[in-house]
Amino acid sequence: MNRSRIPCVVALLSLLAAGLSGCATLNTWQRATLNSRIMEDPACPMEAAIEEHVHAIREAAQGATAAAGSSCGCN
Amino acid sequence: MRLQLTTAAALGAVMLAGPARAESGDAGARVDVYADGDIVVVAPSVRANVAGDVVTVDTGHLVNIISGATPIVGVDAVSGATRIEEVRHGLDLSLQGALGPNAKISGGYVASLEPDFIAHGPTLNVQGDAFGQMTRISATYRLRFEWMAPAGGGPLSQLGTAHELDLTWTQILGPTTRLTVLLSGAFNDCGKTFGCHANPYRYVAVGSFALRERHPAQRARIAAGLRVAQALGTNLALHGGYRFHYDTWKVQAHTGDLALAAAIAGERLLLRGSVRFTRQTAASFHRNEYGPEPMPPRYVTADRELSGMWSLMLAVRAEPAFFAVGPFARLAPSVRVAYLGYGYPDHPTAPRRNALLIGGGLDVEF
Repeated sequence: MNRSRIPCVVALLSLLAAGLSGCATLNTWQRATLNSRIMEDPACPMEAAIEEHVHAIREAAQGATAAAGSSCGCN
Repeated sequence: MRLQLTTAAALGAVMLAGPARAESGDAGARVDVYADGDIVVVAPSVRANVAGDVVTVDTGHLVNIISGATPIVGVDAVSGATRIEEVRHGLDLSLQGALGPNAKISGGYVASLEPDFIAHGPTLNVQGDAFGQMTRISATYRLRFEWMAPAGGGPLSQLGTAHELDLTWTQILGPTTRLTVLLSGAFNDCGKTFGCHANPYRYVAVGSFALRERHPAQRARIAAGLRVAQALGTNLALHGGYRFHYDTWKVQAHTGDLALAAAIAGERLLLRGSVRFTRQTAASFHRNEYGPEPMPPRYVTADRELSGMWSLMLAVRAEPAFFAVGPFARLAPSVRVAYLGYGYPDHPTAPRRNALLIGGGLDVEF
């Protein structure tokens, strides 16, 4: 993929997500699955931090990973 | 001593929170071991998070006990392995408070301490929920000051500064689907003689000379990621992610990961298996070997991690959980085993590296 297209793709996906979510909201009881342990990402922040440190030492790329904290049921 | 200071700092922060009353929180302790052909790192760590009425305090302490030898690669002028015995301490403390019914702000300080390298600096995070709590947006800024001692010992001098910004947009798409968009940018200014994170102990053979590793003085990077969590029924979930990285050293990387999480007997046993693959191009100044040249190159490196490479990680994790045990609402020991394989096609003399990352610990909620 052309590098200059990456930000455009991300922006489009963000707009798509916002558009999809605009259709409805969820009640608390509908968020049980979203808040369950199996939906946590990462499963354990301490583990994720150590794993990210290993990747940062052994690879040149960094950033924009689950260790940045994406876990959210928004409850 | 540092652990005692961390504990004292955390207790002090809780007291400083004034009317904050510890209502809930969690704490964890674990030990991880990383081992490959070159080094072994033993990493014990502790973390605590205490939520009060007004302020939430989060603090952690990680120790890296590193032993091993510098890698011997084809372009490294070091003819034999140099022994490494080093201890690194990572400390962090942050306070979080509400900005309103749907927003939070947190500020903290992070430090990494080694005998010949110190990095420390403040962090600031703001996050807010919107659209009926279907959306969460988070922004984190980190400033880091880096200090380094010359090879062989001597006083620390400032190596440079680093600025990092993470933006995260988490979107609920339905009762079983969550999407996260991540953007990350960083700028390192290492305006000293040898550039950003050049190893002071590593020399590179250039013709008949041995030159100290030298990198460009500045590096800017940007990374964009997308993550999806999809529940498959009530006891199974699929996680997937993709990350693109690009920086001013012309390193371009694509990373994908996939994980399957399962809950057995309610949430009394959690199992997770995951796979991660990344592929990157070489830094623009990286060379497989340096032959005799009329003028020495401006930048030289023997760092395999800056070459064109790939890595593969396979991991399994198990976490049994026990509920309402004594003062704890939840008590969960866990163990994780990960295999990491690296391929360096540009380095025919050291084309592979295999590693294990094994860890276990105990988390409690109260």
